[in-house]
Amino acid sequence: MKKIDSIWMPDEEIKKVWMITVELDNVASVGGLGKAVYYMAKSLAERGIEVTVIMPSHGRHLNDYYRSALKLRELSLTAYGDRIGVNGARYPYAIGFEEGKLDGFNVILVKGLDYSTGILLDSWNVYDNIMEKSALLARGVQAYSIFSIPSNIPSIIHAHDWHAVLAGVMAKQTFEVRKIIVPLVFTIHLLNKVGAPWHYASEDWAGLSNCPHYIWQVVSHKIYTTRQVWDELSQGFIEKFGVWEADVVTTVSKSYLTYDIYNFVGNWIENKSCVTYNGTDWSLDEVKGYARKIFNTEDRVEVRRRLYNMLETLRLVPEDYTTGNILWNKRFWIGIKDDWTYTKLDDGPLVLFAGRLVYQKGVDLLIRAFREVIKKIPNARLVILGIPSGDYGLLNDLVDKASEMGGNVRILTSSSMPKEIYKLFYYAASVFVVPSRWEPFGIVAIEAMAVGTPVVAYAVGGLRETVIDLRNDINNGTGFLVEPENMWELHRAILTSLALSLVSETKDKGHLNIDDLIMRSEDVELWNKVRQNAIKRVEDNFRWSSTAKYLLNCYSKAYTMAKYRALASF
Amino acid sequence: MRNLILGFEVHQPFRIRRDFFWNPTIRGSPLVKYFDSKLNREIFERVKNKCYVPATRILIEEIERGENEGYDFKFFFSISGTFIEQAEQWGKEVLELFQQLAYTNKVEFLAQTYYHSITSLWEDLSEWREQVEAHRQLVKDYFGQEPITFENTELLLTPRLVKEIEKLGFKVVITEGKESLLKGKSPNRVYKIKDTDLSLLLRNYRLSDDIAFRFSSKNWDQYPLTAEKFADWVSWSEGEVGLIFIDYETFGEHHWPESGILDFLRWLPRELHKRGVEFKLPREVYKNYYDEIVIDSTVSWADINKDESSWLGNIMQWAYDEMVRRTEMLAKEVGGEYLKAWRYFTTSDNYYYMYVGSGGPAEVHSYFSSFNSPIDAFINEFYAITLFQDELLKLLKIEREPFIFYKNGKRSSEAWNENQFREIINRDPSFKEYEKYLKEWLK
Repeated sequence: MKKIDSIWMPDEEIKKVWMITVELDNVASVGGLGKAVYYMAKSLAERGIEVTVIMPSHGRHLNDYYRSALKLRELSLTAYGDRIGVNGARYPYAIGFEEGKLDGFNVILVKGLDYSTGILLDSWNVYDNIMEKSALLARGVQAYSIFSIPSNIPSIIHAHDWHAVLAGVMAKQTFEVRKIIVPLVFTIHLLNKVGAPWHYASEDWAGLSNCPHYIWQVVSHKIYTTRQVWDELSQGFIEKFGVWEADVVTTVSKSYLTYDIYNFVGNWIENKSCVTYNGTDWSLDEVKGYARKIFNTEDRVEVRRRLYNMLETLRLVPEDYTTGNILWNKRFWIGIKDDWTYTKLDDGPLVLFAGRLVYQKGVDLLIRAFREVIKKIPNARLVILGIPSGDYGLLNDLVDKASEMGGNVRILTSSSMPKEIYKLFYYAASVFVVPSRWEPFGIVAIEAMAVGTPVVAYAVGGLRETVIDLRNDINNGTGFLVEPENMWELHRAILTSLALSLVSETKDKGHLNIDDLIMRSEDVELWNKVRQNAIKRVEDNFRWSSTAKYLLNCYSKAYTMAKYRALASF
Repeated sequence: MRNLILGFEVHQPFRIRRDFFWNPTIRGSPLVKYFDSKLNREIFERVKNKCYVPATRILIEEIERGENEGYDFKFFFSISGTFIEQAEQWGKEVLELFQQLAYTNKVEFLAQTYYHSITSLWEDLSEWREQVEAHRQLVKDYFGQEPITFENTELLLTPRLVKEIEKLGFKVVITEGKESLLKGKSPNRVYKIKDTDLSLLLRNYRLSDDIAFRFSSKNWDQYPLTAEKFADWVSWSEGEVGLIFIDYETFGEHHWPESGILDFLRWLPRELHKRGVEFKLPREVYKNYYDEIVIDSTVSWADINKDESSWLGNIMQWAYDEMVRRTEMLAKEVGGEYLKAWRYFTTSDNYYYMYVGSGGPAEVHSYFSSFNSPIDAFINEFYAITLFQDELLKLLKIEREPFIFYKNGKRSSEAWNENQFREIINRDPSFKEYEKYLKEWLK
């Protein structure tokens, strides 16, 4: 710790990081958030930084598996108190803490000690009662922060997504009112635009004091009360509040920052923002290992044929009842057999999609583009590795369209698909398509590229930064970027990809003799080069170790901003 | 939605003299006698000063601004032939501005019927085809474009018209996104009409009418409508590509400049761009069809019913229409200014003035009408076309009743002499069976 006049700050070197989140892979995770936080924590820890992830327990401490996997032990710390509702009634809470270890970093699980707290904090599904979990997490973090003074004060508080905003600001405030300035970093993985009245954040509920403090205003720090920041600057939007309170705001791609975050909070945050790309741990060696183990070959075309044949015996029952029902009703037309195995596909170039079956992901646009593709390459195949997500209108539409081309399309929607097979589909694909209508980062694109599969994507969000369009850079291209939501252009890009991949497979340039291609090439090895470019691009830019590097830069920027904040009062 | 097609309907009719019955004019050319050039000119010049010139200047400036700031502001125009004729007479500068727009390559000019007529509702579509071809030539002559997008008068579309439009070589047609057509589908995407290769773009009438009708309505809970707010609505809407299509006269004439409508127009492109919405033209998106759609009944953008009843919904309109069809072959035989005058009679506005209804739609009709009431319109218009018929009969020395062709139980073309009779059979061979009555009729 160092002293600036009457104020203390942690040392400039980043030693301890608190990550506040509601999701963490291997503990409780449903989407990309948990994965990102896990790998950030892990790769920072690998660099010798002491990382502590603080999160709601979601009841995991009650489960023997997690108790032993995380080596949980209860902390001798509790937080008791009353919350006061808008109706004036008092709602007591009782919070306890479990400390554990996971892959080199610490985990603090915030849990309920009585029924009324436990039913909120410890409900197993991460996003049940999320507003309440988030408010109680803030109460927990308040107690944990006080408990950490003086020997365990973090160098950085890092809050992830809106659920962690109150808790993150709470930690910052708890230290600040004790004259300790700790930088707060707020990462937006996905904007949710959730809002609440001040009461929700206030001392009556989540526990934030309404005290005056310094807030960065474009070029200088100015004094606002917490309530002013909430009501006047943020209009009650939790993410905006987090953005105002944080010393640095980070997001997962430059495009997401520019097009989405700026639009929501204003581009004044430009000079206190930075970008930290996600990474992937998928690797070519790993997936080649699976190919050898299962099919005794590394040849992509052979793996593809074997996967097509394997559909005959691959029994995948959708876990989601309604999804199963919709597929079952049309099973004769979409190649599903009565025992939930699938009719095999005859060989042909493979177009692969993986992701949640929701409007955002644009699978409806893909299937329409694919319909045009098979007019010109009739043996093209489309495999959809879908995660059902409750949008049954979309699923119905997808199944409808798929049933018009049952010999070409398979929809696999079960999470019980073996991980090896799942990754082998990526490996065997001629092209991976990401037809998202919007996408903060789009991790599937770098996963595909990691195993050497070129990507066709709509030019939205992070995809504009991960995929390099072959037309713009013939030497480093990793696929094609297409005008968003344009099905005709998407079809052309897929068509071109398939044609180029067929040329590489057969060394026969005759495959390029079709209309509507977006580029042609004399180089029969072009597509294999694109595959190499893709692998290299991930190695160079999208490994979690690179993420940690970006992150440390952001942390030091946050430190500088926090120092200005500390100096603002002099 | 991420993409928006913005379009403007530009049309002025040749209005029939509003006191023709009470003060008949029987001297002069048919174009002067039956049509109120004084009124037509007055209206044209008023709208020119309030809308055509200032609004077009704004559009040009905003295209330039977009070019400087790195985005494309694009839109389409559907301009009737009668408008161009009036502009030639009373507002060359408007045409020059439009031509300036054509040079930017950011404006698509659509095809429609030259006379903005409702001839597409007739059993015999020969006249409609001629008017479409004449308009296509007009667009080529004035703006150097060969339209592939068709907008039938008032967005009228019927099941049988679809095939005809396709036959004329168009790739995409625009109509109203009304619920009974969409059956739960979104209007904000491209469709293909079933069993054709014709794409369909559907006007989002909610968003369009927010500007066209509600903009200056103080009783509207969203009043006042700002470009910012409207751009939010557009960007929040679902679907891939939305179509906003409104009368050009909205900007300065239907809503006066004092309402702020021209500022709205000026700021809208910037606000949309800010929200990541891109401007598209029909010719750029038509290949991107999402689903197929069936046209199983008549569609138009008028009133609440959104069908043909605004023009052919009561006995006055039917009678007037009968007279228009009855004089077709006469006018065609005489030709020249008589044919031109007859075609002015086919303009939909002259039908629209006779609409009888109540509530909102009636108010809209009455706003557009140069007559005091639908009945007043009927008296004068019907008298005009009757005298027009008499004049033609005299010129051709015809003293016989017309022969009325029927098709599908509906009255179709009418002939007054053998030549006309043969011509009708010639252009529509399905009337061949009527030949057997020819002798008897000629007796």
